[in-house]
Amino acid sequence: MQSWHNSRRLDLMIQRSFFYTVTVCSLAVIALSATHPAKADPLGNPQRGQYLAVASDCVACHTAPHGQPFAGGLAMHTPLGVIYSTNITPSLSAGIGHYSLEDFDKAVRRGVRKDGANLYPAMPYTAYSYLTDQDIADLYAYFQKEVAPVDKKGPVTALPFPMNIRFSMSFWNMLFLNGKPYQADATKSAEWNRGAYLVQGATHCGTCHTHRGFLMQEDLAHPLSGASLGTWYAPNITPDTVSGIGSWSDQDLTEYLRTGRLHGKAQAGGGMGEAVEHSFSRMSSGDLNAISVYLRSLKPVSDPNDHTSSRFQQGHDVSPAVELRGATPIMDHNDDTASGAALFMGNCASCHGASAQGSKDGYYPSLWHNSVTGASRGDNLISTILYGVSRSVEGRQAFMPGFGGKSGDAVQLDDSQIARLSNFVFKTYGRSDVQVTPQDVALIRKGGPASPLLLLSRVGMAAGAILLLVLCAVVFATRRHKARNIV
Amino acid sequence: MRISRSTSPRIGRRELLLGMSSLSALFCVQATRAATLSGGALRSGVVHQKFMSVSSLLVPHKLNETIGIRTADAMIATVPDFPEHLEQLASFIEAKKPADVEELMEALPDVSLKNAAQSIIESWYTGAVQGASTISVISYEEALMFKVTSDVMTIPSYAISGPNGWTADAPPLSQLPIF
Amino acid sequence: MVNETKYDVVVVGTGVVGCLIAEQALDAGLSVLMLEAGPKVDRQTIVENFRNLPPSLRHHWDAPFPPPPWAPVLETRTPGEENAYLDLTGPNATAYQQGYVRYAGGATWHWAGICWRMTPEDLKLKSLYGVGRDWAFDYETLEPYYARAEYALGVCGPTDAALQWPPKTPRSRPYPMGPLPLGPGEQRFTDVMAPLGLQNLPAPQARNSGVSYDGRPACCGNNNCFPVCPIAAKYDAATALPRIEAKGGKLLTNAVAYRIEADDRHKIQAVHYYDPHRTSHRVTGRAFVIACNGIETPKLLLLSKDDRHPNGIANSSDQVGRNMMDQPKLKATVEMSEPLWTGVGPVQGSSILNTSQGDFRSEYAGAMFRMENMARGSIGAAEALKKGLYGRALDQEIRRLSACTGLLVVEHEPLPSSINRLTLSDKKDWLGLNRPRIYYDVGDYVRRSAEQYTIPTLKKMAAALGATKFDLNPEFLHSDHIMGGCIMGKDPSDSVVDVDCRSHDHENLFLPGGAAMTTGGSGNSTITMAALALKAADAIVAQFKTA
Repeated sequence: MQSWHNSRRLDLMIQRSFFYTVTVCSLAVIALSATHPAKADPLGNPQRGQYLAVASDCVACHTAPHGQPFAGGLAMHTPLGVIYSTNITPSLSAGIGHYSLEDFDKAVRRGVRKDGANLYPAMPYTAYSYLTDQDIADLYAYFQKEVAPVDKKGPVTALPFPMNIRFSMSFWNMLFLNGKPYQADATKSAEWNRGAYLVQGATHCGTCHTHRGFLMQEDLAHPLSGASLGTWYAPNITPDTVSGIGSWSDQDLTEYLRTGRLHGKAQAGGGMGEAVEHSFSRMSSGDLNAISVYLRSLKPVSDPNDHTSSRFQQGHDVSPAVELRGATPIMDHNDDTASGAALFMGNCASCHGASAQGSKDGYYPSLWHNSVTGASRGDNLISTILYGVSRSVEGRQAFMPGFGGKSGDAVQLDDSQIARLSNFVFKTYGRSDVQVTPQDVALIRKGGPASPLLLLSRVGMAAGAILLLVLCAVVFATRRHKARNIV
Repeated sequence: MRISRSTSPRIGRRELLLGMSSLSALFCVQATRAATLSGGALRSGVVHQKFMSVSSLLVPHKLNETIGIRTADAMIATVPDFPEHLEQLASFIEAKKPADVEELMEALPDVSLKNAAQSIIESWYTGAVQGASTISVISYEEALMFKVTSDVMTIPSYAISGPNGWTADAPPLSQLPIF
Repeated sequence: MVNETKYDVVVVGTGVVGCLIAEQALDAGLSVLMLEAGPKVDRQTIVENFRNLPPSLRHHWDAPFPPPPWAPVLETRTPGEENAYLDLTGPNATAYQQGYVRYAGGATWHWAGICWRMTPEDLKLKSLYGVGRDWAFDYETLEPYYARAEYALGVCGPTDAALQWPPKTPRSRPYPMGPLPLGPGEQRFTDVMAPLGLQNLPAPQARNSGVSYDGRPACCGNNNCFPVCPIAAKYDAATALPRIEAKGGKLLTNAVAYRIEADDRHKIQAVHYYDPHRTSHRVTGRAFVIACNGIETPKLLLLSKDDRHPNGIANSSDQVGRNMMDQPKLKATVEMSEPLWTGVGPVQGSSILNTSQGDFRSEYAGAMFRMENMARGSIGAAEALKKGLYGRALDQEIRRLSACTGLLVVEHEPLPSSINRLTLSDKKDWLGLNRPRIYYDVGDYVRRSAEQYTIPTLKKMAAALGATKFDLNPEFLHSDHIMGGCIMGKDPSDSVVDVDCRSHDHENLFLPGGAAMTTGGSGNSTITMAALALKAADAIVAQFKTA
């Protein structure tokens, strides 16, 4: 279950990352970027490195289901093929035991392997490029000294042509890869700077929460204002009081990051659940405070489609049972036309309560005053119903089963049932203007909408591969102009 | 109780009717929501109001109005002499202004009125209306019988807490929850 | 359509036994067809059926599963349903009015999820106590299958060996999950019984404790294990069906098997079934599993008689339909001055088992004692309302009766007896098939136990609880643990199946589950049925490998 969620989140990230790559291949947009060598204490501090590995969530990708930590082998399904994470234990034969600090640095911050081949951007080296030299040295020390070597190579990634030409990655790197480690802002507090460093670097919040432009670059004019991941939607976490999390206190935010839940407001599902489980819940309160300070200092971004109250304040407790009881016959077959209210009572109310009020101890959240049902789009409600929630923090699991996202789920709801159920929940307990169609559910079941960019790049893949060098030469001269025209 | 049979397989109509009639002889759940009163909306509105007003004296709990309306409709449809008894109860309360149900029940002059009052109380507690030959289910989750133990136990089929969140501790018997 | 395909394994019945075998066969690469007499109904419908029932029927475990006319059952809600199927005789006929569900998923829809293993002694009644029969194998043979069954179902149980059952018997693996907490009622019951030498053990339960298992959520104390777990925290076979279909298993519902067809060499070739239009179909296969538990399996074998098998299929021993067993149950309601507060947690979470073992078994039956953990709010309310109470007095009395009453239960171990027999009735069901006619007598072994042992023990227990009222229902009732109709043994002349639940008469016919159990013990039968199912599945897969 857990590993599946992991790979799911990674799939989404990788899918997005691939947009960069294929775009560059097809459109051959090139930029130059400065490089710089690592200058750090070569000894490093393995304890600090371990902490940073947690903050950076390395284990999530580099561990296969039931596999040994950091031994790689996790299969990540992308629209273009399966990518396997690599063994990053200090094994000399199968891992990175033969990596020097400089090799390690090049891989983590520049996305280039020891043998010179480019990594696929499944590895978020764009975010890690903000890491300081010292942090890189610490990470290196941790992986070399503390991690147990595993002498087992995972499966080799073999993507189809032209994605198997790893060199193509360097074009995109030139365009979008940040060139230097985090530079502190002297006008801000040390705490703010620490938060900025973590958010932009290790914890890479923008990877999911920042909307992407046409070339799939992060929209840096409106950072962290919400973005679709295909299935889940990473919401607006700017301090806007209506569209964002401006109504949360510092304590609210740190509690959410530490536990994955905030009573009467929100709970972490999908990729955020995993980020809390593997990363945020294990970080120091000082760092969580710093993240909070930084996030709350960002420019609030307001969504003009939002009403006057936030997504945490929608709906109220009302029980559909007062209308339903006795009005429905005792049935020896399924009612294909069962109402959303009946589907709610039969599938959701047993845990969330007949009035969707949640359990007294707060384990099961209320469905009103809940960021999922108060959202302006159905993605997260649909994804939650399909895939459920599974998140373990401090040995305690928060779990909801999926209702048909996987073929073996004990309860299987179809697209039409989930649409009716979602519409009832939005209308009764959440943002009543949100409408969900069976097609919306089918799309999320498939993994989200196919980007027109992806289509374009796929079409362009063959031609792009042949014309790559020619285009490179042409485009290099007129790259800005050309890029604008294409856009 | 209505049993809804799958319609796709062809069941002999005779068998089905036989089965249904033997069932309905014992339990017949009325779709009370659909029940409309012969006297029209105005009259039903007045009856509903009276039913709620009488109920609020008979039952020292917070009462859900939708359930009140559905209960009253079921009683009108299945309980003999219900409208008359309700009228008499309302008039008696209006005239004597008893402070609570205890005072009312002591003061009620005749057995049939006491029984009528008792059947209204029973319907609120059990969530069902016992008619002359039928039982109408009105509510389950809102049935008042569950309220008096809600501090200890759950309404069956609903979560009591998160996983393994219950314990062997129980509050004192004498400590009724506040309704 | 299905007439065209020959499946490797044809499984009749979609309960726990059928589903376990189907999944094992699919995992071994075999093709599987499952036939189910009843419909496939979603959990949400059954849960809402339960809530929409009239209050009195919410305690009737079959009521949320109304039987379609073509798949009637024995435990009925109405005279109409009773007339459709019931044909029970003998001195304890009502003690065999078994509750089972002919829906996809079978009777695990409304089982309590309790998973007591049988003890080494339970399998050797004849040699140790001179009664009943010995099983064809010993406990060591069964143990690995018990462990596998516990992992297949997801059983939670005590980690403390002193609280595990059977006592002082090694387990090859721990329970997959730790124990569930006890509510106030079962805790108090445990504490009060201990000084009497009655050890109330936390039950191993196929209920997820604290964590999810197999994608199913953890139990959150809905107190509704029967008639239906609303969230599938309790294992029921219906939860396995989507997985089986995802693995390529084919499921046919509303398909009532009525004839097993054997060829000249006694090899089973086909199963015939009726659809709800009363149209007959024939499905062929290489191996056949009849997993319809102890009533429908022998009935189907007897229905399948032909010229070469005049007593029915698998019945050269004349033992098919004999040895019908269940644990005859007695119930006593107690009322106390102090609150017990049953109803917190699952409906059953503990039992007294040490009363099931001992040398006295040469004289009378061992037994399992239990206090039911049902929430008693609706029972208390019905009683209080009957008293004509109102106002605050009514609220106080409902609360008192909910807290200060309880239901004590004792289930007696049965002996296999050839007089307890299922035969074909002259009466026909809706499809025109002979109904099962069952003669049942609990027998002197059980009656002696009740008189000399269990009723006196119930009274002692009530006294220890401080009971002010003790109301024993003297009539033996059914425990819904149907066992024995296709009894297992080494000798083909006095048993129906071999150690792998394979018919002595037909090499490709398997009759696993409760029907194969040689003796019943005092505990719930399901985990033993599941263990036998896995053993049979191994034999089926092995048979394909060597073929």
